[in-house]
Amino acid sequence: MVWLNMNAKVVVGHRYREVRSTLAGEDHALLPKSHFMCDASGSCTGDGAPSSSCVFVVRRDQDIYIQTLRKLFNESHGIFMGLQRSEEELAGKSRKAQLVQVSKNYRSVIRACMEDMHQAAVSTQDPALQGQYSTQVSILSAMELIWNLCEILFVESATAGPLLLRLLDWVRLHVCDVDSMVREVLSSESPSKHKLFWNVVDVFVLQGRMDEARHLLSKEASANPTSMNMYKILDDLMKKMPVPSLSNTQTLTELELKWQHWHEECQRYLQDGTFASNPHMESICKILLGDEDAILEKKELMTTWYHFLVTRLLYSHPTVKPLELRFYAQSSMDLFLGGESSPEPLDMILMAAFEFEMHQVIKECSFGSNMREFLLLEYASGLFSHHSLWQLGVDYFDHCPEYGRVYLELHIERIPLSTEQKALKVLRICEQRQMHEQVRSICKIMAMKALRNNRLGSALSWSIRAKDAAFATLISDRFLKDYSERGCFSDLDLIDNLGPSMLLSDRLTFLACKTGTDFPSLKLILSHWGIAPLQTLSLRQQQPLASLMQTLKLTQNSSRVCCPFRKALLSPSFMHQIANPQGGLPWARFGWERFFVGSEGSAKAQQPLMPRCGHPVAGKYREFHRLYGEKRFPEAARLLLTLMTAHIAPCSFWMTLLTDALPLLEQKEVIFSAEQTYELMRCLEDLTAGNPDKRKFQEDDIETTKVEMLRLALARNLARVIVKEGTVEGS
Amino acid sequence: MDMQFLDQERIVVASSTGTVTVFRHHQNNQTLSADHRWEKAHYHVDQDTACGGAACTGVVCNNPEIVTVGEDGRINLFRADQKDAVRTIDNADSSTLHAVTFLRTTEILTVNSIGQLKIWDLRQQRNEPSQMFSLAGDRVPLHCVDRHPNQQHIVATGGQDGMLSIWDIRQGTMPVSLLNAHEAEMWEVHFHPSDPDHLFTCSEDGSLWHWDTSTNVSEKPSFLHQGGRSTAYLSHSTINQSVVSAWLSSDPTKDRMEITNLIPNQTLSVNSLDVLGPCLVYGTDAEAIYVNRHLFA
Repeated sequence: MVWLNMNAKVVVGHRYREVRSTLAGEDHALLPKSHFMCDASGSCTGDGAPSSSCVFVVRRDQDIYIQTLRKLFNESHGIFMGLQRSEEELAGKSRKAQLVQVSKNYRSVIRACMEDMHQAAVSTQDPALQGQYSTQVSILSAMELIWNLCEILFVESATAGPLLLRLLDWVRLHVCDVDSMVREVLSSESPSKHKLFWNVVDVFVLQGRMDEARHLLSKEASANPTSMNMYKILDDLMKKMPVPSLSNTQTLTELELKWQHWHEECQRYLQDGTFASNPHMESICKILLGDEDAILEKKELMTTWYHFLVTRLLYSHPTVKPLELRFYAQSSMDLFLGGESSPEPLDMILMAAFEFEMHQVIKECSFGSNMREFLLLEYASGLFSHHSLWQLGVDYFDHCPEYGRVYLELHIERIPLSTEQKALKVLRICEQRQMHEQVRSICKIMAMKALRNNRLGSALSWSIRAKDAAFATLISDRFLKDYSERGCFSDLDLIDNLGPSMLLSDRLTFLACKTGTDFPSLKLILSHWGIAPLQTLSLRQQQPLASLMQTLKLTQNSSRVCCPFRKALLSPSFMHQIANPQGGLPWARFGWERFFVGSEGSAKAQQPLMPRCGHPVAGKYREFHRLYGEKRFPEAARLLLTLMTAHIAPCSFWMTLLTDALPLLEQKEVIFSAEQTYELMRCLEDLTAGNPDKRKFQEDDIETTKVEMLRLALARNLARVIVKEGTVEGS
Repeated sequence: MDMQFLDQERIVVASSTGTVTVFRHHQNNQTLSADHRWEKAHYHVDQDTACGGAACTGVVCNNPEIVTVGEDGRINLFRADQKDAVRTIDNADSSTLHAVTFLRTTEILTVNSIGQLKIWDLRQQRNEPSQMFSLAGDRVPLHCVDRHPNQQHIVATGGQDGMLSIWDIRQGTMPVSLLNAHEAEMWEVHFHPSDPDHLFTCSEDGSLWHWDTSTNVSEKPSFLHQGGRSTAYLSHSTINQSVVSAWLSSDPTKDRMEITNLIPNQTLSVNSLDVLGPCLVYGTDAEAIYVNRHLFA
């Protein structure tokens, strides 16, 4: 089940139900309230039929995939990050203003998105899409409606007076069903003649848009000079209506007093029948008086119970306090719905807001101590399932102090690394947050991928990024394997230019390099003892074999030798080419010109070559390398021989030691004396003869070649030493 | 992954699937239509396996020629009017090629993920670079490259560590100067095409820097720079002595440049940028494209 991606779960048909429930269960534990959407691609022939092999793509948070909403996610992320930044700086007074501004920014993003979605719905031809867009528009508009109310009540927490003004704005902004009617009437040639004229006036009055209502009425008045007086009185009443002010110039008591006075005046006019001759005007007067029945008569014009609530408050309780809202809200809803229909979810949410239940919800939320964190986690998890929006989720997780990190770790590992650039982005996120485990795993995945695709250079750069020595070693093995298979390095450009990065690998890395002539050379970089100050050892063009053998020796001696390379070097054909420099193959022209080895002291240099298993011979052997490195060849030769003849070294190690002797045998000057050479020959014969499984030994081409090369070298040395010793004695 | 105008009407787009597409922009109705498509121009060894395509990371056009590079280390040379690739250099690079640009009509520059800058001469039949440069020390991957519009030997590259490197391709194999810049990958670098004293870089760290070498600091009173914009002076270490260009200059008294972060509050990566005249365009991970029309205002 591990391979199942959290983003797109692929479940095979006949097990679908079972698997799905497991997943759902799993997800519930981690992410409550997750909804699974199911896209069935192909028809499932029968549930439970073993032959059915449909594949379902199960996705959560379908909404995330709607194109238009991406703008919403991205923009709101920007607002969120801005808020988090400023949160640290701001405190006290300016904070509230700031928060209101942030809230408004969020709303304007929602609105913009809603408009885009609306445009999309209008312009599309596909009815299914149209339906989808329309649904989104209504969801967004409900969101904005709720948000705006919450902004008034919770963010701004408007006090009595301004509260009503805010609520009026809210209603004006959101009850837009009547807007088209208003437009129609206003744009007609003579509005007062329009059949909906009075409806529009009512709408204005119900929404407290007094100036607009008066403007319309004045038109009607000029058309009816007979009832001029009546209009004038109504106009005067509407003009005089006291409204709360946003500034602190008047106290609530003052307002209440004025309002009481005005209310009584309206009452008087209604009672003395001033408007009796015009039912429209009379009903307006009743509305001004806050007559519930009169207002309810205009139900169609208000369309919603919360409009009714606000109108009712405007004309009967203009100084309503936030905490009194709940009583009016409940009764308004009951009155408005009148038992005919039951409240919808949106109504319930708004009601909860009016009742200030949100606070309660947040405080007593069962999702642990932190509602904010829970919501952020939930939201960010949703974003993470999207192929492009996941980056936004990261920042949200960052601001969840409790579980953010854990969520991020879980999610980030599930991001499909489709391109290197994406992998780099994920990697950067992990590196910035010191998520070492994830860094390693991402690099490993990418390096493996590159290796599978035969992109050794890329693989190497990924393992370098992860500082993964073992993997770098694995890759260098691949280089060498290619080398042994094809006889040439495949990625010269890379090998040529490996910097200290190769120090990562604790193994010897052999690098071929073009020297600019026809003589490619083997560049030997002994890994962790500093190749930085490269030193060119003496050219040994005359003795390619010896040079080769030195190389060989070095590989041999390392306890962690790159086997493919050794194999390549020891393959008979290679040997043959080395031995016959005139051969036609380019190989034959190999001059082992340069060896790059550390310029630091040889003792240090030899360290990685030691068998690291705490071998008893190690100390002595190390001494040998030191002597060799210091070019104290005779001493080195003596020590080497002692190691074998005194049985300090186990037999199993003799072959290595004998191979070590090879470069000494191939030196210009004779090092081993005749007697020592005999000793060496004896050791070699002991070794080959003493091997119980001779056949296996024979079959091993490399071993055989090596033995033969040793014999050849020993014989040549013997010949030289006999001549030399004879000459010296003779002279 | 990358795109460039081929001519007034055509745009070449490089995709992460390895496909290279030429789109035609219909100006009258503001729509795009695919003109030509090279499927899987970039691919991994087993082209037939499911994951065959390799991301095409960079494209550069010099009408009618189109050069693309990819994660597969391949260089393709296309001609807008020809169905098949004119030339393909398989395994041109053993690591990922991150970007490509024209040096001259027949020569291209590539940068790769092991810190190398290579020059390829397309006239030569050898499948090897004609010149190779590399960063010293750690082979930090290079992500972008641009050439000085007038002085073609000056090349700027940006690396994974946010470092800006200036190279003089006439000499040496190492960068002339290294400038510590962004905190994360530098995704794009561009000289201003008509005013090459100005350079623009953008990065994963969400910043976009304007490098200005035209201002001689000593001539201007310093209070001019103490605005709201975060301005810093860097003195850069150079090796070269002989070149006049401000980018290669080494005179420590003049050797100052004004660096301005053009988008101080951005949090998400700025992935790409381009500059022409007074206009600067950049795209971010917030899935938005920003246009600044008054660059030097």
